[in-house]
Amino acid sequence: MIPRFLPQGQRLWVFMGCLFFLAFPFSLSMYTQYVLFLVNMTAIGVIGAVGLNILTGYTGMISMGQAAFMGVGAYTVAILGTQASALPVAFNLLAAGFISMIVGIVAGMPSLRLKGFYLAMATLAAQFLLEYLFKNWEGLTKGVAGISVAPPIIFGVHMNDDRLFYFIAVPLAVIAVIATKNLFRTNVGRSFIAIRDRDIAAGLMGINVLKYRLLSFAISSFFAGLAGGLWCYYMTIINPEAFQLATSIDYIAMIIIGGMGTILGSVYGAIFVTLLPEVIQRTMELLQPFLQTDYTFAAFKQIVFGFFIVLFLIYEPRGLAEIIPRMGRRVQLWVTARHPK
Amino acid sequence: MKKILCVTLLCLLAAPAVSASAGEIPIGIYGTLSGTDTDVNGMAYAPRDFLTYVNEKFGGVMGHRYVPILLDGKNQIPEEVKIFKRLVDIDKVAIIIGWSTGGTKALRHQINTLVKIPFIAQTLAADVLDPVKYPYLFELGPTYEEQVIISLNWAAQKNVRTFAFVHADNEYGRGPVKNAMEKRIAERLGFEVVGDIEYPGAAPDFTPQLLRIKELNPDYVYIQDSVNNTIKVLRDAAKVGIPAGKFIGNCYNFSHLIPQTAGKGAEGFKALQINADWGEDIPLMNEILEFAKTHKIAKADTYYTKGWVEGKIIHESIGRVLQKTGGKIPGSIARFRNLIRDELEGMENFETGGGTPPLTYKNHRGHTQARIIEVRGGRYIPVSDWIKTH
Repeated sequence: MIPRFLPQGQRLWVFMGCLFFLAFPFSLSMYTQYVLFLVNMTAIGVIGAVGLNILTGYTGMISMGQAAFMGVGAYTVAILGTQASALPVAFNLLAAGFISMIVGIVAGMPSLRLKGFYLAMATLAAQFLLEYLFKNWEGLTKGVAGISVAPPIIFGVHMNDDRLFYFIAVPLAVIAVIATKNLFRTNVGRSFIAIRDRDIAAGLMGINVLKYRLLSFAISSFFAGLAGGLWCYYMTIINPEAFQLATSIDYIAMIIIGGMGTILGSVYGAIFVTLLPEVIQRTMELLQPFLQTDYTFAAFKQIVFGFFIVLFLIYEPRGLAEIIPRMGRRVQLWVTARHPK
Repeated sequence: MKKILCVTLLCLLAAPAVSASAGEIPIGIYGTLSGTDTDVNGMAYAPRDFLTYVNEKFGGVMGHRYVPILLDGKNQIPEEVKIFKRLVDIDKVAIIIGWSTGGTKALRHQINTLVKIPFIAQTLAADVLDPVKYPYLFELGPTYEEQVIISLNWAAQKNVRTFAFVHADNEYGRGPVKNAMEKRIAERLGFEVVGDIEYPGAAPDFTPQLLRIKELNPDYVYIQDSVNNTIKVLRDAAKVGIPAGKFIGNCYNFSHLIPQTAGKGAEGFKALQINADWGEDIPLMNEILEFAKTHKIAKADTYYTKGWVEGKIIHESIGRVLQKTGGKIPGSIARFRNLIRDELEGMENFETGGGTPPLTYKNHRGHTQARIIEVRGGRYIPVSDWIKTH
């Protein structure tokens, strides 16, 4: 079961990880649906955030259109899922990625001439344009009413349950993370980093900057499309409201908080952005009787969220990907100091 | 580290189940506490307040206290789905009062097939109203489409010939108008629809759309939107010289904020009323005022009274269940939810203390009546009797 090419030490970890992955959804004797919903949403967030991190964190191009690219993927799945129900789920998800990739390449064309804030504005235009199409191309997208999609069927099993969906979303998120990690061991990934660090120097070194910029857009949009496709299958209904600018901002927040230019940063960021509102909600519910915060409660959640983003930007721009290992090292030092042997 | 991981794994596998506290009945409520649509969110606060009122005044229902849980759905589908899962899974609520059209549509499969929980939606969309397909979904009053019919029926008595629709570019705005146009409701009643004008829901200014309406010059314009945008419509209508008397809004346009904000620009504006207004001389209002002596009321408006009625419906159906079980809460939450659903569906001519016409839930919406009200001297005055849809 465990690949033999892994070193002996890592095999045990992988084995434990697999065991944990399999046992987790069955080990929850309470709050199963809710916890698995959060896990599934986090997994979808991880795929989208990894995609954005490739573009922004690793290639240095700011995109404000991640939600729209996700929307393209979601609508692809919805249209294929309703009009040609015989198509397998894997095909629909891959199609979501590829269609989104094509749209991403077109939306990324301005990157051939623009960078920095100007490119951000161009991607913002793509976001608005796609939002408009989602809303008004009624023949294809059913407009603001959206499209209802049946839950995916895999090997004859109706995945209309949080626990079953967990076995699709989490492995796909893991594959996305591993694939991205490997991407940066290749020439392509290193070219992205070179372009981010100094595009002129990268060009002088023989890297085709324009080609790699578009490639970065393509890969990033593929992940966004995949995340959108999963989102569509999970929610079973999509409409334009789900893919607005605010969602793009959430994804930018994920990679800033998690850590730009790190794979794990995308994972930490997705977890943080998905779970922080839950933590705030629970904390406020506990404090509610003492603080009498009833009516300002909702706004308070937004304030805390904004406060955390500013805090990260000022004190730790490298995000959780820097903080968590540092904390780990400190704990290790503390343990070592107490138990030298 | 490996030991810690192993222990965690074992703990997860051996985690014990926790049951809800005995004698408490959790009730789930979510609405837009932040985001768009907050202008009508009194109907989210009121059911919680009503259940608190019952707890304080009567000690709950047959000795069981309600635990109302009010959460913010933000009028966003993923947020509403998340809250739904939390309410059914963690809080183990007996019944839910939900919110938006999109969120309810997204959840209809879970509500009716997977979880099977009675769900009173604040949306009045016809798309989620079907006692056979959606046996657990209930609405309070006439659907948006039925409200269009009621308005047209009223206008038919006024020798009106032409009509136009104006609405935002969202599902709430576009959906009911599209249905009404497709069913040719206006044409069947002898009207000509001269325009279907759409504006961007979040835009600050609707002057271009109002200029178009001025060009079309319909006898009446039906607004399928809520308070904030209606204020903008009336403001810009006054700007281009269209009298407010030409506009009729749906039930989410009955707000005193409209005459207060639009001033004389709102004189003659009409809206539909499907439940009592705040401050009416009715038994339901006496209850609210009694509660208000010791509690702060979040929104003193007609939507608060609507929510209060929904609180009463919940209390009534749970009371009927407990009467049949001899005051005992059924051991299985699934059974309890089913019994509440059955009682809700079986409710006939339930008096709400004047909050609405008597409610009968056989068809899963409490009533199908509305009356037309008009702004005169800065106040809403009824200008019609209660009109039935059919």
